[in-house]
Amino acid sequence: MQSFNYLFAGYTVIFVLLGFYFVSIGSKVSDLEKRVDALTEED
Amino acid sequence: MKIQKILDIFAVLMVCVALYFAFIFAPSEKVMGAIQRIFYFHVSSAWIAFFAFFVTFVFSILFLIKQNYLFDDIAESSAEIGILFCTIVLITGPIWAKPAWGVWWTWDPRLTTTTILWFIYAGYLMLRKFIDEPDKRARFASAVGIIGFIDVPIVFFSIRWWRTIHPNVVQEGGGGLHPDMTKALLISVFAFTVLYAALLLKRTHIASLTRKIDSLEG
Repeated sequence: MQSFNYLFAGYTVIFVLLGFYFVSIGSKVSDLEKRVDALTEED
Repeated sequence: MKIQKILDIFAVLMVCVALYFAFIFAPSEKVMGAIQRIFYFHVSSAWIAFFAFFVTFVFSILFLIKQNYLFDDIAESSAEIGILFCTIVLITGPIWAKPAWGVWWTWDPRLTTTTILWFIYAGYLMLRKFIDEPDKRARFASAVGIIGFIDVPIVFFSIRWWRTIHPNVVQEGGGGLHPDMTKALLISVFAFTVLYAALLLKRTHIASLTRKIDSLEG
């Protein structure tokens, strides 16, 4: 049972880190695209 | 960005397939039991970290030759993703080590050189933050990206060059792995490679957008 706990902890860490990075760079892309559009319109 | 979306979906699907192979398809290891299944994503993360740092190495050289900032963007993006996967390796390793070795950490050559690798590329990313001038930043970072890669073969061969307790699965005959375990490992490596490609495409797009904003703002 203890072995399962370590396994669960390991995969949780993997998916939290990968998920956080995946989502955060995705939202950053859309933010930057909006900013580029705004700056281009200003010009 | 249709390619990006297709790659994102394919990466998520492949990670789900890899999970199926790691948890259901692959047989249980007799001595270690369930915790051995962390090995599939741990080893895949290590391979992707090495590959990511290799990409940084190659594109740092290309930047110094061609002076094209796209190469610098790719080098930076790959180093950041490499750090992410290296962090996963350094966290999942001790989680496996505690039940397998009885300790969270030991200053084994493989563990020590991997930690040094993490610090080298953390230093690379910090250096980029500290230098404001784009040309100087790219040139200095390229030098670190090239010299820092020296540690990657040291990490890989550390288990052959020095006495170590770290398992060696990448060797002739597959390191005694069951054929189904080898299949699960290869699927995981492929899934992580697709994920790496998806992340690199997205992260490089961020770097080029940031450069564009800097030039528009003057």
